[in-house]
Amino acid sequence: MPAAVLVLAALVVYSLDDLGFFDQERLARAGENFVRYAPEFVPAPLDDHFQTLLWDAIRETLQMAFLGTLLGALIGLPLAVLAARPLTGPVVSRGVRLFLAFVRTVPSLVWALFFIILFGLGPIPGVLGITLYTVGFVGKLYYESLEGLDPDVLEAVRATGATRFQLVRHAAIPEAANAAVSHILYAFEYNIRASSVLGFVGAGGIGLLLDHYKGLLDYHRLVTTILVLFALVVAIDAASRFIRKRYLLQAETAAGAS
Amino acid sequence: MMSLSRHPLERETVPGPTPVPAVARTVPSEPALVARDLSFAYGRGRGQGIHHVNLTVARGETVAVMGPNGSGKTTLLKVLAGVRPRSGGAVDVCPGAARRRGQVGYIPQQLGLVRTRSALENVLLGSLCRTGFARSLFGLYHPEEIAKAEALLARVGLADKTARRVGELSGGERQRVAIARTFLQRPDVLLADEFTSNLDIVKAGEILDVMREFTREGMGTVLVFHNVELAREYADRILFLREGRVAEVHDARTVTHEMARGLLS
Repeated sequence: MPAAVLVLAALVVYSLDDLGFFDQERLARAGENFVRYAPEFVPAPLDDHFQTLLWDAIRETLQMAFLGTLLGALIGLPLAVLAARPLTGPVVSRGVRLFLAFVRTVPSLVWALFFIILFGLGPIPGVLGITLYTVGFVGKLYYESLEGLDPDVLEAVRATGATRFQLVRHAAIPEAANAAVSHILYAFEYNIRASSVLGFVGAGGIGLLLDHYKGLLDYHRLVTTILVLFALVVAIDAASRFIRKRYLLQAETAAGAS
Repeated sequence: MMSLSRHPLERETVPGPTPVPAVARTVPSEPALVARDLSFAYGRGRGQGIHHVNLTVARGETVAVMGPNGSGKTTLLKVLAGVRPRSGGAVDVCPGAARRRGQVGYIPQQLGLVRTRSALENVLLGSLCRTGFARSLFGLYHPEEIAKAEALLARVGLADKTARRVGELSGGERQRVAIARTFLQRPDVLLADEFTSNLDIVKAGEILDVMREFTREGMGTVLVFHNVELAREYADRILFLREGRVAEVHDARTVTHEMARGLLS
């Protein structure tokens, strides 16, 4: 055990050095810059115009994340059903799984860039980028839930003489419904942050505002915008927790009832 | 568009309480299930599997399967139900008759009910073998089937709980839902894996009484039991398994506690 720790420590120190963390000059300069720029990081007051811009940006970000998540789920959930090995067999499921992995590997940012080429700047490429990534993201989570379903239920329903389609429709999907909603909520939270990043490539929302102020070197407004984004993420997190507690069967109660 | 297969003994109308006839328990002849030289092995010594099991179950006959832990009782049931593939041998349900979907009814030990759905919806799953694709797509069932399902739930004493989610019902109530589901299916053979094990003996007896009412109508039944008394009371024959093979078969009434103790250890 101690040997492993030493090796790890050695690797850390080596990498830090290699990447320039021990460069005295740079560290000193960073210190100077921090002192010099500190006053710039004071958030700007919210005048009317600024507020309007922020509210518009928040609305756009929410809409992008909302649409992207729902569209992504609408496509991803059925694909996940096809990707679940116990439901469609080894060949079909492998093909669909590969597709989902591909779609998920390409970050929404790259998808958005691709769509910007097609559609020009604005929220449309943002929504499409989020949608595609969400297909892979929700798809994977959902097929993993489907594969982890209680085999007893599937066996019992199969034994009633149900066709594979009926098994999926009447047993697998209802059993995994809880998990599906949970995954969609998780994807929505993730996509709020993703949509703000997309703004940097012109896809609208808060990200666009961030990019705008960065370009103008207006760090006061930039910081305020970041704080607003932070507040938005916290609010969404809280709303999501509330929805889960209220409407979803938590793992413990589900197990307790059986 | 939709064919309701006619089980030879299916009643035309929904039955009320049936007087239980005091006659011989087995209906002669016609086998409901014939298993020949059945084998199944888990790979690389994981668990027992079953080896060269032969079993014939007549219409209306109830066979109990007993044995020590790990002797292959659950595996045997799963292979008979078609839930596990065979590695050898054959299973024939109603040999000579035409094949139809849903000939075998299977109730696993944990019942296999969809917990988030209501009792009625779970019972209706038993009619899937007779439900067409279009109806299934929209989650619809034939009104006749719904009426039959409600009648079955009433017959097992759950008339007032048809809309309750199964996850909210008690253990005994859930077992009755599982029975109702299987009887809506009208299988020729019923396989049930010790599903009364977490009920006290009185409740277990009640459930088995309900089951017996139905099986007298001509179903062949294979039940896994852990309790010798229940097996003697409700079965016609008892099959003892040991290490995946059939050790002995006895007429239920001739099995004593000493015999059972010996065969179950």
